[in-house]
Amino acid sequence: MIIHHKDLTLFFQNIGLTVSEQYHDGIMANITILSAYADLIDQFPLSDREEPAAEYEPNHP
Amino acid sequence: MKPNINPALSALPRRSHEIPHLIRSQSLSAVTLTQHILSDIKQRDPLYNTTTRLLTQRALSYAQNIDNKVKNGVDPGPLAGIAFGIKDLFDVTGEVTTAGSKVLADAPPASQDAVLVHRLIKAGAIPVALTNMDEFAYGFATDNAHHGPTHNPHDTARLAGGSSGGSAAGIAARFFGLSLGSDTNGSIRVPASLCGVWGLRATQGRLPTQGSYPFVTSLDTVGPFADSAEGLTLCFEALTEEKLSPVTPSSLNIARLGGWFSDNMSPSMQTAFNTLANTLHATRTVHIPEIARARAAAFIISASEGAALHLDHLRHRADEFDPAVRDRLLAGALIPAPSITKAHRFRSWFRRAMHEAFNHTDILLAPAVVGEAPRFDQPLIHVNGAMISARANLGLYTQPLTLAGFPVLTLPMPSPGLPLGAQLIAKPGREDQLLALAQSLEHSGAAQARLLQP
Repeated sequence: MIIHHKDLTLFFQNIGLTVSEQYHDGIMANITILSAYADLIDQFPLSDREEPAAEYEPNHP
Repeated sequence: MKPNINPALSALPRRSHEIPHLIRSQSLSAVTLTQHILSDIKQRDPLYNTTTRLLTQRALSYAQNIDNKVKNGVDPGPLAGIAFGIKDLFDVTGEVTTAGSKVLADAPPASQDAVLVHRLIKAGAIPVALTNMDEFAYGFATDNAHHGPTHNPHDTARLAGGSSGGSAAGIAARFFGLSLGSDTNGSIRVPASLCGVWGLRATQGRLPTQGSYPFVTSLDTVGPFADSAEGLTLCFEALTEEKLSPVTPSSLNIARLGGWFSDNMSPSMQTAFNTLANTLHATRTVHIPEIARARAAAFIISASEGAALHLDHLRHRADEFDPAVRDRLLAGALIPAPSITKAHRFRSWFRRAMHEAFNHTDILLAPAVVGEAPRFDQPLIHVNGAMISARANLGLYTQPLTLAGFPVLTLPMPSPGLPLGAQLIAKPGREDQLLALAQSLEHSGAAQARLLQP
């Protein structure tokens, strides 16, 4: 997950948002944190047969 | 300027589980008790800011109903006369459910009570106040831009924890004996630990969320806080509308969690936690793999689902959000879809790892937070040798467990300084084991809620 400060406006336009530039620094700080978490998940090897836990039941081992 | 009031004066004469007996025996009138409680909150809460709205008329009307039942020989219910606080994300008839926001402040009032609110009232409990929270439950601090922060009753210069901070701190301040909160990533367990009260994140899906404002539907749970383990048990039985089966605590196989959960504890937490583990003869250590990724997955799922939920509000009313929450949600809106799906696939993998950890164990122990409540002017804490945001990392030990959906009870440990909590984790559906063990620890003095002295 790589998003640069200068591209924020375009990224937000893609999802129909107009976000004031005064918020961009705060948003970028959070994107940096989330990017590290997304990378951790993306790097984990999972079988193609591993299904998303969409209908989640913790009882199901 | 702070009001000149005596914080030692509280209207609550006893712990929650003792109230119904006093009401039934007519030693105490529910109306008198409720009047005292409402007046006490008005007088002392400006110090702590645990509540945002009083439910005066409704509380007095229910209290009168309880007294009438007792006079007429009708059973007033297992929670008769116990005052409870309600996190402001549960629907309460006639009140606007704001979830601590300005964005929802002009929504229509709720036309009926949330299921859990209804069940507590049905069991005889009295709703007295709505409680303060982080906006939209997205935070661990209960520092609300619109209502102000909730202060820890044990040291008002410190955080109460969040996001259900008002519900936890209101118990510690002795405004009510029970309260309702929600726990997506630790929002019951963190404030319970920092305020020194009992809290339960039930098995994912066990307690109905109907009538509560969502945050992350994949991870959201709703549940209780209490001033005693016995009160927590009575409350849980009322919330599930089921009687728990008896459990012999001495028969439980207990181990402590190692690795991630044994690193970064403060010295006082380490001492309190070791004492608890020794009391429970938890000499064995169990390791669950990939805890850092479990926490990362919970972060990704939370940020993306929270953002999706609020996208329309962000499109039209971004300026009305708490700035910290707005920035988190807007960042979450940009997480790529493959990462979100992968987080959900990892969750399936992690659920199996959690079940394996319980192969020879009934209860796992872990600290709830790294240490005592941070000060408002102490923004950083030490984790893995680095100074990082205290607020963001209050969920260090709670958030990874969220992903598995297993039940977790937060227990207040005895400690010479500020309150410290531990997590007791059980297999899905085994809240009976957690609550039986909690009561046994309370009876032996190995755990007890830390409440302001009356």
